[in-house]
Amino acid sequence: MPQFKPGTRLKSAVCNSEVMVVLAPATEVELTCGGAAMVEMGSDAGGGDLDPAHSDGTQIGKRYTNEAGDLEVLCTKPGDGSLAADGTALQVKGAKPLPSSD
Amino acid sequence: MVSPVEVANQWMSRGGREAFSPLFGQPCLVVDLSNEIALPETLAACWTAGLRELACPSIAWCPGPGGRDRHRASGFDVVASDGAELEAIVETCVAQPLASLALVQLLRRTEESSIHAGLESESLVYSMLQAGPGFSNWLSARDPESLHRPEARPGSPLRVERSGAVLELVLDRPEKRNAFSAQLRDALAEALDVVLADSGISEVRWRAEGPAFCAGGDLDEFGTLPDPATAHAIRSTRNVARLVAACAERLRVEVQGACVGAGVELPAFAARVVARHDAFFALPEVAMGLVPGAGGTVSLPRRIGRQRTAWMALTGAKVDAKTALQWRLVDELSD
Repeated sequence: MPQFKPGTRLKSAVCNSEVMVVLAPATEVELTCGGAAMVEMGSDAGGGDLDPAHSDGTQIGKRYTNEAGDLEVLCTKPGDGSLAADGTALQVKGAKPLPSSD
Repeated sequence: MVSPVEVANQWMSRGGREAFSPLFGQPCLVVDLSNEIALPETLAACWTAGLRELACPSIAWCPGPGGRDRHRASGFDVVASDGAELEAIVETCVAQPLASLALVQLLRRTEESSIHAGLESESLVYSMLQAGPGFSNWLSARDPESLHRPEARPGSPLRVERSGAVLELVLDRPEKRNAFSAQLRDALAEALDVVLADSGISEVRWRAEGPAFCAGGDLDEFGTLPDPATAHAIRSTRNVARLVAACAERLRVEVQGACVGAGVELPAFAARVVARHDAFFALPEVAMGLVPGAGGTVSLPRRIGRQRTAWMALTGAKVDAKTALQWRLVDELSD
């Protein structure tokens, strides 16, 4: 299982999703998209099929975090797979609300 | 209207400077540059410096085509070249003297400051005017029937589509003429964050659905600010203009129809602006007691200079696509 650094760019092995690591735990973590381990940009995607249990999709511009809050990724390209860390689905982290300044 | 010699003499006189103020019945100074009489040398120096310190907009009257006297008008805040222009500018200065003064003072500095410092100055001035009488008069004069307090709208006002190295941003509230709401602000900030994070995006194409690119700030939201000081903190925290400026080199904007307020201020930062033949551009904020607040006092002077920016803001006039191209407010026209 890999250990990630902030700034690392990853892509899904089974869909079009791409993410950038914003925050990563000091420990190893398995980050998956569509049920398959994500790979570093530029490396061979490996292929395979999307796991229907991990197919809620990713949305560009959204940040996804784990429950502990020590892992955060920014989706830079959307895809059909959904993200999970060590088997638990990541959740969309909504932007903090700000009122109108007008 | 006065001659340069008269102004300079008054400027030099004891206590003379205070007279050039909206507080003493002088919301603007119109100086006749239509004849070629040269200023005495002793007056020329204080004249140039004085214009920058003036507590009201200085308007150079240069009638006739070609801007024959434009070089003499270089220190002025704005140039009027026909009677209708002059009337419109003076009318705005009379109706909104505090906003007119703040506008030209802002433009005297944003042209030369960094983008970041300029945006900060603009927001500070904007907030100050949100607490002023001009804006509150404008708010209370509105027809309450015309207001639709912002409701939570389903879906996003912005579509974001990625294909390879190209990111496409599409304003998608044509029924609201793509008004710049807090919701759109948040959506643009989110999308531009991706552009800044991902160097794999080589081009951002920004366009809009419907007949208008963007009609400016969402009027339904005007007056909903918590308070002016907090409003400045909000703009400092989440600032679309700053994000647009940061990815300007990769940004190409296609505009059509109304490009008003934010609808011209934000595109003006982009490396490439393509305007459809029916596009027009306007800055309506001073008439509301405000100044442009989406970065326009920084982005427009960099394209068209501070005098034309002041001209747009003080006349509120629509600039058509052809003129915009001549001025380099846009880079290209399309069918």
